[in-house]
Amino acid sequence: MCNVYLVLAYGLFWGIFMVYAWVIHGRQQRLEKELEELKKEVGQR
Amino acid sequence: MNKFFPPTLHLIVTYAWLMVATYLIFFYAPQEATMGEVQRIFYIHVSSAWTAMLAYFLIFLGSIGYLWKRRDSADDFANGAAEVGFVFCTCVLVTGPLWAKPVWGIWWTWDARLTLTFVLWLLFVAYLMLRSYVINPGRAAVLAAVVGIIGFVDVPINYMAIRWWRTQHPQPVIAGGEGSGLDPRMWVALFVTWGAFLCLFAYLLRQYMRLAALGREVAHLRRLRGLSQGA
Repeated sequence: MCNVYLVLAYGLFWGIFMVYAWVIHGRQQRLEKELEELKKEVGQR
Repeated sequence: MNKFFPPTLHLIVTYAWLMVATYLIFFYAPQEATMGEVQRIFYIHVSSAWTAMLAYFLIFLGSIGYLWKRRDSADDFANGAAEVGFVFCTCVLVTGPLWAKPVWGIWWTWDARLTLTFVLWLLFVAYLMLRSYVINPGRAAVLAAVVGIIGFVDVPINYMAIRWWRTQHPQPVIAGGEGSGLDPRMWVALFVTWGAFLCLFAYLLRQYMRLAALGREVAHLRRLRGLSQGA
């Protein structure tokens, strides 16, 4: 049942998507933070 | 779209669909007679390949839309399809050799199908690099759209490669002529997996579009801040 190639293929497949989801999440958080700061800054002027 | 099918619901549906696909791959689809367990790589490999090709087709459509109407949404759509398509195409190139090694005895060979898939991956890379390295956003969008349109020629040739030429890569299971085809339970597992991948692709594309919208808002506010500082 436990074939090393099979395990590697599925492991790497999901690993790649986990990394991509983490990258997207990081970008989203950074942009949202910057947006909040800019909104405050522009609103104060 | 957000009102009728919110992103959270989309994520839940994607997750559930992927779970069903995983169950079908490992517990419903029969074991292939000659290759054994390793053949189960087929379900994620083929579904990723179809999704990557579809992604490039979406880049092609988005690029035409952008050059025709010059709408940012068309450019975001093409760019998002490129980014998510790149991830799927990478999965094709990772899972393929892991299937090839135990079955063919080699990790890779430069036959028509494999080479054209590698070229497709390079096209995704070229598209994304153009977006990153050309400083003027308008110029980057136009150049990327040209790559998106010209590069699309790889997709139909790649699709037909195993029909036109003798390749190390297996012959097609769909419309492959006499002797091709799959066990009905394998078909079910394959199409459910592809459906789940399309759902995942759509979810990631939506996330990218949201990111792009946020990016534009940030850029707009930066300009406003710059103007008020200059005044």
